[in-house]
Amino acid sequence: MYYRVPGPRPIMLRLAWKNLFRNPLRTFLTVAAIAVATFAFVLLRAVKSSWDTQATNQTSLVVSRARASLLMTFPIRAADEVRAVPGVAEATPMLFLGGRVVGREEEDFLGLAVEPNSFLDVYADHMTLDPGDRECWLRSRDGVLLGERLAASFGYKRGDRFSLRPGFAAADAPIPLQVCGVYGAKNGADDESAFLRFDYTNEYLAAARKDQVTLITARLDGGASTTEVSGRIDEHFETSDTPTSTVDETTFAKNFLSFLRAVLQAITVINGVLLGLIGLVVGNAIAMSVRERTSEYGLLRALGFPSGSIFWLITGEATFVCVLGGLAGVAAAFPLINFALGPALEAGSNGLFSSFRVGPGALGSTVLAATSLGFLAAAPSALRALRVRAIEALRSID
Amino acid sequence: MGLFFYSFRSLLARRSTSAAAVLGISALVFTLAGTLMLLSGVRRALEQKGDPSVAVVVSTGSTSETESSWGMPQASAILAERGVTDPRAHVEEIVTLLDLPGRAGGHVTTAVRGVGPNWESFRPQFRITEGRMVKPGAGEMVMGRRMKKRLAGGAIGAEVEFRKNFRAKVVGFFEDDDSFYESELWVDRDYLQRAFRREGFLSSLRLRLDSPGAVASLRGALEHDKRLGVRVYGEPEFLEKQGAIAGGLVTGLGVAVSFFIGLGASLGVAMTMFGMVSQRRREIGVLRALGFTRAQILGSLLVEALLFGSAAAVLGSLAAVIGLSSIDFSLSGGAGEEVSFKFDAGLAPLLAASLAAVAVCVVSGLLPAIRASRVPPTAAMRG
Repeated sequence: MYYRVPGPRPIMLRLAWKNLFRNPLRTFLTVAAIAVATFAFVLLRAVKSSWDTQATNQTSLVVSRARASLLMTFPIRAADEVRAVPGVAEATPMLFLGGRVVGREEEDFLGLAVEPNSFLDVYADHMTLDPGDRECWLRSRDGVLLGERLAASFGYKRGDRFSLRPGFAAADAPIPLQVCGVYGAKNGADDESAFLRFDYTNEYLAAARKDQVTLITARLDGGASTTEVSGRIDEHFETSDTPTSTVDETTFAKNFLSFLRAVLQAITVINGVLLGLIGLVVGNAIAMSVRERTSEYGLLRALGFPSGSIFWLITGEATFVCVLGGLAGVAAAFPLINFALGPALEAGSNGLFSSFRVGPGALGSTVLAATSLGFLAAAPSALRALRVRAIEALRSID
Repeated sequence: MGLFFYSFRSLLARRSTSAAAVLGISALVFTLAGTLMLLSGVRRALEQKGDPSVAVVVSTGSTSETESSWGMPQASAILAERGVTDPRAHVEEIVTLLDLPGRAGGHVTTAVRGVGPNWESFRPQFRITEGRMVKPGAGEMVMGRRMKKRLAGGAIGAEVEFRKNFRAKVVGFFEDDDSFYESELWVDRDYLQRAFRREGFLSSLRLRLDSPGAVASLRGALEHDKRLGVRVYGEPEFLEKQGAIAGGLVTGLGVAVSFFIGLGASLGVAMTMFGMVSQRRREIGVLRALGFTRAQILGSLLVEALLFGSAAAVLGSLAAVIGLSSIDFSLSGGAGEEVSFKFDAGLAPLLAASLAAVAVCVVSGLLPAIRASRVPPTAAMRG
């Protein structure tokens, strides 16, 4: 069916605005409902963006792991083979140890055994390291580099010694280590890992694990395509004992947080539900008020207003309600998140929430989303109102 | 009593308005019920049932079996020392992760468990539903029944590749009392150890003790030996610890989300009911002029509100159960593996949503009614 709906006239919008105050209680409740839903929406968006930021970084690194499992290992000589792949500038092997510090086993520790020179080369753009610390690590076989956050939570500094009991079936006996230094993270890398030297660690590894690695990270030549090089690496290992799966580092980091990813998906769904809630409430409210005012619309038509203007009268009211509710929700959420909840969560969640903030862009798009929903929810009632003929409208009592 | 029929018929007279209002409220009930069903389903799936008489021994500090590793010789020594020989009383396992193609595309990360040959005697709830159990030492796999639909290779005869020389053939499916095991893949322990280059290490030792109290004495016996480097947990305690982060997060989010959606839905319901009653001020005035007492009028409005609320609650809950029960999806559990679950169409979430709807309907229906009935009849009729 085709309805002729001309553009909104200013007088209709003014009328729509005034209509809001005719039934203040209804308007208040509707605005409140929208505000609540918008508040929750913004809160969830803050959660979402707090985790998304951890996984975004622009790099030209690719990471190879065993296709079958992140916990499957393959021989360290694979690193030489990766270096020979066209497009690869340097490759560094890494063995995932996890591990628990002897005497402080209840605290999380993330240890990896790496080849010092190639490691420092590949991750040059991702780490800041004091030259003295670097020297120490290259010189001391039992040296370990700790990320800033990890060092802070354990209270370790250069020169401290501790023993690490590796997990994931890497070794049976604890490995004695000395702290050579602390590295800072750049460009989205994490500062919660510990890097041991592979040559030293290898002596402690279980027989089945000697010379085995979990990951190979490769730095590409300038201009090389991550997709192409990843494909070449995987092709090379296709026929080997352990086929690989190679992706760019950003994707790898994202996959690592698969649990969080699932929660993020759930949050997206819930946000959809919240928008639906807004639509339902507004739709309901508008349908009710339209039904009440049918005779008025008849009057307006009799006075000569075109039917299209009724459309804008109704949807205008819905839009105003949504904007008010959206702004209210956003106004409540902004200070709560940025000044209270955010700092509290960032400090107290042990790294789970690294940056719990919400910016004007997110707030603006939320209000826009709520408003569009309200407009859409009101549209059916508004369109239905167009069909009413003036005489019938004036006659109706319900 | 007479007013009851009056209210009923007045609702019928305003058929379209009443129907629209009921539909509107039931849509809100649907939303709230759906949310509560979802959260209940997730809680139930992550909430792992454990046997309090079973002790789980893992390496110190491990928050999951996947991470835990300690030496098999030490485990054998513990068993020998305590004289445990009954195959129903102990089992040593290794747990790791496996990525397999999902039926819906992409990859699914699953927990794969290497079990000893005495597993079936250890856990009586375990039952093969299709095919057969794996043969000791063989390159075979049985899948938990929940994985049948999740994985592209969820069929008997399918091959799962660990490494080039290690391919396991799916020989059966199992069920286990609706527990988390049903989201796992099981392989012979020795085979899995060789496939993953974990010879000599296990993830966890499970011991069936005489009573939950015996767990504490086992803890005392084993944990003081620092070289052994293990911790002893009762099974329920360990499962809770394993799911702690996931569980805490989900519960926290869940409570927050239910609260907001509940609040928003309640405001919407209140708005609807307010509107309905306020419209009838004139009518209430007429009734008072006719001689009905305020109590009678309020009584009939209360009944109306209850009718509304109940009808909407039933409609909304039915829609939620019919529309959502068949949806099956998954989250990652405590150790990175996928746990699949559904909307829980149980009594608790539906009842909660329905009661909330009825309560809000009654309160928001009665308040304007009380106000309207205070207005002198002539003023109301002039309205």
